Amino acid sequence: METPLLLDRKTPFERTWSGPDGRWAWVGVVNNQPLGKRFMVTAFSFFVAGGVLALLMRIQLSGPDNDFIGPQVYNQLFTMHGSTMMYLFAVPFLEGLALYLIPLMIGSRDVAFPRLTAFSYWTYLFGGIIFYASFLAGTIADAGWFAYVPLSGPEYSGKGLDFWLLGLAMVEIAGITAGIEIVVTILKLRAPGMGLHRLPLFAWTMLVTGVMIIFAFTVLLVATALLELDRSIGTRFFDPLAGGNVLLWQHLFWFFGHPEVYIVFLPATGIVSMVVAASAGRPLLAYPLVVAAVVLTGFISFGLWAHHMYTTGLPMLALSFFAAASLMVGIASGIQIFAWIGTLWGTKPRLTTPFLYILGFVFIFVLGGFTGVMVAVVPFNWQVHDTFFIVAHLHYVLIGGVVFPVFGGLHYWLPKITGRMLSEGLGWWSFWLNFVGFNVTFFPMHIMGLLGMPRRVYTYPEELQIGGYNLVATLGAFMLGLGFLFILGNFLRSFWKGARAGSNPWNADTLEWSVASPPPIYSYHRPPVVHHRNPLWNPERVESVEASRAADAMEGAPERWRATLGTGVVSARPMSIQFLAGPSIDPLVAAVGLLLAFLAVLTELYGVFPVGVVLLIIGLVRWLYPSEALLGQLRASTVPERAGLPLFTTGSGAVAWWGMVSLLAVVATALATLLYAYFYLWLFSQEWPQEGLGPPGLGVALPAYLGLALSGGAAWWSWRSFNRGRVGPTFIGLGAAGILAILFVALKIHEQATIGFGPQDHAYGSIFFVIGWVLILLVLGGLGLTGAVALRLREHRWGEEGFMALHLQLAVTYACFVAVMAILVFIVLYLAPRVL
Amino acid sequence: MRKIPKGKVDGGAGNEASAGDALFVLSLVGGGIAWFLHLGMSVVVAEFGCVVGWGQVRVLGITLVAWLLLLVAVVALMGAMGATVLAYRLGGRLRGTVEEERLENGRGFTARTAYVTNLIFVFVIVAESLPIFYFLSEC
Repeated sequence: METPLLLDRKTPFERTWSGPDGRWAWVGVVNNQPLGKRFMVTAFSFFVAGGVLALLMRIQLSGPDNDFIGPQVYNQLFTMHGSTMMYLFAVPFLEGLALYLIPLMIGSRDVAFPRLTAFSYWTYLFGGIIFYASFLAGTIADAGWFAYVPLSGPEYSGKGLDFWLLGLAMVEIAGITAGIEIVVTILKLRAPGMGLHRLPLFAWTMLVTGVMIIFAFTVLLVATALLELDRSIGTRFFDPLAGGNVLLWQHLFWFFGHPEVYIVFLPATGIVSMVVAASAGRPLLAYPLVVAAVVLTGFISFGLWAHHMYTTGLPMLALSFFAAASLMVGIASGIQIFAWIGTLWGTKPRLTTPFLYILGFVFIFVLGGFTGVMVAVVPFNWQVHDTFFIVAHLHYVLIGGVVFPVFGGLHYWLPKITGRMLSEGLGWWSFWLNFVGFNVTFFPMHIMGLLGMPRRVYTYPEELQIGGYNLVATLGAFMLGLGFLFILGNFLRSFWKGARAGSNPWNADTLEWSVASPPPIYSYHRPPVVHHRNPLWNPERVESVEASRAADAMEGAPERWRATLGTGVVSARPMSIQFLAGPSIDPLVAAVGLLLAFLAVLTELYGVFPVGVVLLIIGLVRWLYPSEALLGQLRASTVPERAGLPLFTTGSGAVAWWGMVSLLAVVATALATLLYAYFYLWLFSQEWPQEGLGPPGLGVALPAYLGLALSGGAAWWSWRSFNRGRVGPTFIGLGAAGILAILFVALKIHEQATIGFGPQDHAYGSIFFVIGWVLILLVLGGLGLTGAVALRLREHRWGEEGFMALHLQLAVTYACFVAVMAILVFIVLYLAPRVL
Repeated sequence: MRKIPKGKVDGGAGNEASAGDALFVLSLVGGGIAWFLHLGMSVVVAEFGCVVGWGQVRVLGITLVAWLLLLVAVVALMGAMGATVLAYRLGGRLRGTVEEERLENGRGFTARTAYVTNLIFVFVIVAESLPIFYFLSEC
């Protein structure tokens, strides 16, 4: 048997995974390891920038009546600091860590959709650049990381807010795509035997986080789109003079904003669970309860959004529900904390740097949790709202609850990533500087807040007698900055002076520690088979016949194309040979197209917009449309036969099907958000529809929507015919679905052009038009998908290949989904105003 | 008319769908969905009801808003308890069975975890319903 790691020359298998050489090859890289590292390095760079902004703010606040920076610059600094840390550092960093680690941890060779990872990275990078380009343009966002309207509306904010909104939209798209990637990878690409009962806790937390990202980020994406529409084309969503509502923004923003806290906190708890188990040298106590707590946190975090809105005049009755929900989330956090304590109880954990950071996390986070319970209580919240008490609380939760575990995790996994150990001495210094510096900075802020120091105000009068506290906090901030520099120095030092790490320097239990450090680019030459929750602590080898056969067939294979094992969602039984896409610049082309379209809006050069859209479509088509050469290679491969597994599956057995379900979840969430906005605006509007208008007419709408609903039925009939082997009805069904969809688009455009009101007249018109156009775009997307599938069906003489069944199923699923959405939209836009 | 050979698409192990999948999924997410619908509906009823004046309409001395909230709570509780019972039965049925051991199946674990999660959701719904009793006569 060959031992690939010892060979000087690359085998065909290794060449396939390492990709082409050349100066520009790096732009086409799609492997999870380099892209995960790029995510982390880019996020860390933004973290440093955000930290510098924080230090500038602390200098300003170090003494009363200071004029180091003026109020305008201070507003810009706290806006960019918060936005950088929340959008450009925390989520992307954790997604990068997950994209790098998850495949290794679950025994896969890569993530489910490698090119999507590349698209996600480029989109994130471009979004971050747009954010910071506002500094070069001299117009910087100044409405806070929450961008409340009307402050962020067209009347009170300049172009900086457009940089902020469009950059944020790109980062959200990157976050959603990476979230889908992580969810599908964990569900479908686990090693045989790694049922959900054996999934490492970091992967559990990332699974729940990924699902949360799909829902929460989509709501924010819709909210930012609505605000940008208000600013760029004059819609009236947030204009109270025309039926709009400023509180709608707050509802939508915090429906994202509160889960966002848990989106970054949950992976951090996953890191803690992994480090605690490895440090204690025994499995985590109460694994099922911890999993239940993670799932519980994921759900309940979506029910807390209004506890950021206690002072906005919501009915007391409504507030009481959110206060109760806010207290309940403590149950889930409590379960995890007791599980960690129980695991460590009676052991003698090694006091390494990762473990020190975890201890620091427990101390700080518990304090942050206490103040969290305090601010969940409505009367107390009213007293401290918009004071420095909240600044202290949120930093105790976010730095204590996220940054400390992330640093612990970096010290823990960096030896795996680089192959070099970090210095324990420097690690010890960095921990104590960070721990002491953090508490010196933020603990006094509790007192300042209680004494009445408001947040988001650039200075304070001497009479308030909080100058001493502020000076101490500023000194602490610089100590914290020094601690971060120690970490950075330790990382850099390790590259040339760090001791060799070996494959498992911590004697940990999970799969990533079974491969070399750094891991080979393909992660696993032979896919591992798992038989225990802590596989490396239980080395006996028990493999089922089917798992063994599949793993043997995949050893160093396939040689000419990339693949990993696809397994069942719950049981992780081997189910298919999962093809993985190879290197390509198409994701970059698509991301550049998106960037151009966004820049066109930003610069108001609307002629560039179609160029960007065309580039985006070209990138997507080239990326997704399989080449004949590739199909030939797949057909010729003997790996599926040797493994006893199919190359293509349909339904829940297929990775692409899960990708489609995730995409539809995103679209459904976006439409649900718009329908929520419709009813919310209606509830608080003086007149609905706007003055002088009756409910929209049914003359054009009824046939259009009825046709679209029928097109879903025709698509379903086509799929049914395909499964029965009937060629003619399959094409007739697809053709009918397409014609009905085209009819819908034509009628809908006609309706929008002749309806007698516009999106700029009133919030009613704004939401009516936006929902209509979203539906039109969805139908156009479906037409493209269905058309491509129909073409391929004909091209392949409707072949006997599984991938056609899969493609047709995906197109039909999409068409049926759009039909259901159309029925819902029809009920809301046309029937509800007549009935309610 | 040509036919596609049967079984060509999915192969032997290609599809994992089974008859109990829908119930299994329901047991996993039922408690969470019941909780979310409870909170969502409660907020809608509280906000909408208080704005349009249902807080002033009294039935048996209690406002219409409070009656509606109690109804929502009862329905949500029934949903969450149903999911709990379902998860308990699925978990119990799969616990330690020969099939689970042979297949190294994660379904038993998942059902038992769902049981715990659903049980906590029942508690959370009860806790979140308590404020209703402080607002029986006003919004």
